[in-house]
Amino acid sequence: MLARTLLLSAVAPGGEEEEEEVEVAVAIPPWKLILAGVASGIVGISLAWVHPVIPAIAAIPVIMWGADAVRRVAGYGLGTGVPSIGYMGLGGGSVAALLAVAMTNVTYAPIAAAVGTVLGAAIGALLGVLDRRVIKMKIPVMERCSTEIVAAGTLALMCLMAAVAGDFTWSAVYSRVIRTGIIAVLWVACALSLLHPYNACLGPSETQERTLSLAAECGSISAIVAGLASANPIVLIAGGIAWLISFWKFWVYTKRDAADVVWTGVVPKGE
Amino acid sequence: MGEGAKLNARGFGLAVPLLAVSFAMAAVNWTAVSKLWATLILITYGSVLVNVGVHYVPVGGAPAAMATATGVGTGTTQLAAGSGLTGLITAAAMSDKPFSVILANGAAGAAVMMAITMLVGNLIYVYGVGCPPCSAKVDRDPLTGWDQEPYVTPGTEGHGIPTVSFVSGIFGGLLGGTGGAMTYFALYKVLGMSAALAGVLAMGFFYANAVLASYNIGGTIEGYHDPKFTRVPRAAACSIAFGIVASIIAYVMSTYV
Repeated sequence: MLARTLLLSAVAPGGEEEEEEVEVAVAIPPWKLILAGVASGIVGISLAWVHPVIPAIAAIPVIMWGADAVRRVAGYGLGTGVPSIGYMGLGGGSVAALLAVAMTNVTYAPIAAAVGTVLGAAIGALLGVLDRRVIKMKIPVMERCSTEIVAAGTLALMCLMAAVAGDFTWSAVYSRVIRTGIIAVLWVACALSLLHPYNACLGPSETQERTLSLAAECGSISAIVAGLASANPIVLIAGGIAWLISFWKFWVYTKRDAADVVWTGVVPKGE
Repeated sequence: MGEGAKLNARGFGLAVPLLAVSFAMAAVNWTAVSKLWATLILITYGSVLVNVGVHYVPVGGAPAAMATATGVGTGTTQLAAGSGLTGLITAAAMSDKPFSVILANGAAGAAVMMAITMLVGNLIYVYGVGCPPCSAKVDRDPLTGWDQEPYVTPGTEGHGIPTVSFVSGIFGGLLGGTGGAMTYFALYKVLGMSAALAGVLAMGFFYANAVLASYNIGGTIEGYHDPKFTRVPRAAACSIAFGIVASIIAYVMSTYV
């Protein structure tokens, strides 16, 4: 079904007709991922003062949510490759996340995180509407997915910033993340985690489980990056364990989805 | 007036006035103007510059990576980011100099980065792949008047970066770099943010605009001679809408920090 859609979008005449929204079979419905992502993200940021490992691990469901949104929208064929939408998610997301951090000067961390996520969603909705109505992209789910991607990017970046800073306050985040330039590393780690899973798995045999397990693996690597950036061994070890589990899952799903797994043997000598 | 002259008039007629206006804006003492208005004007105009600048950059995407289309073989976002971020860094290096120096440095940084990318790309296309730089979208290069058709491999849309695309790419770098530097100046000088925060925010605005532009051109464009270049007004409308929202967010943030 997905392959057919891709093919149709490639050969369809460039008229004004709207492409139909297609239902793609999924193992986990989007609303569950949204709920899990938002809840774990905001709780993780709120509990950053307990230990930085909490937001670092809480970033994983957020990244899975964002990767699922990328998967839904990029299935229609963006025309520019999957990476562009991941960079857009973090382009708008970084702005919203920085505003949320700045807001901790006047309010509590959970409220700032929630407001930041809503603001990220609003920026995403604006970008989605511009893409669909002004630029006239023929993707029916553009507004919704763009909203979700920017909101997920905002939340994931806030989680990683809180993990590196050890607390979600302006003074901590500014002195340990922004002024040191680590934010650029976190920025790219988040963007890649959002865009890489679908970009790597896309094709006719793509399944949601495999893409999401790769997203969890990317999220774990982001947690490891956060652990390295803050030189915190507990975050590093927790990220490593999460990486082992998610990579194992990805390996299992890859073997399941593959037509056949064969040993190629040694190259024969001579003719 | 031949076809080439028309195309050149379109390309130069858009880029040169935009650059001229941005340098004329450097004469205004923006720190004396009301902060909200200064931010609104500078960031919105910067967004327009970035968005229009991306349309000038010869992006070939995946087909160009296989030398079956004209342009540099990578995506718009990566190319715009490469030159735009260089522009931001060179602009930030001149933080304490006057506005015009920041603008000029941002423009020069991005344009030089763009020129190096295209030059090295061309070296690979010519000496590595073994194809002459040419475009299938025009019969004659609008700048040099050289024939294109005999050099295009049948079944491809051209290859390499011909003169017109190269010059167009330099314009793209100048526009994008100026836009990035203008945003940086608005955040750093007008709103009084720290250099690091202003840099990260300007990067965020830059990426969002570059992706809007890359969706507008559908992934690939050869330069100002490409028929897709006529879609510029849509992108400009988008960047104005996004620029206004972005400048309000930046202004609100400056009141918290």
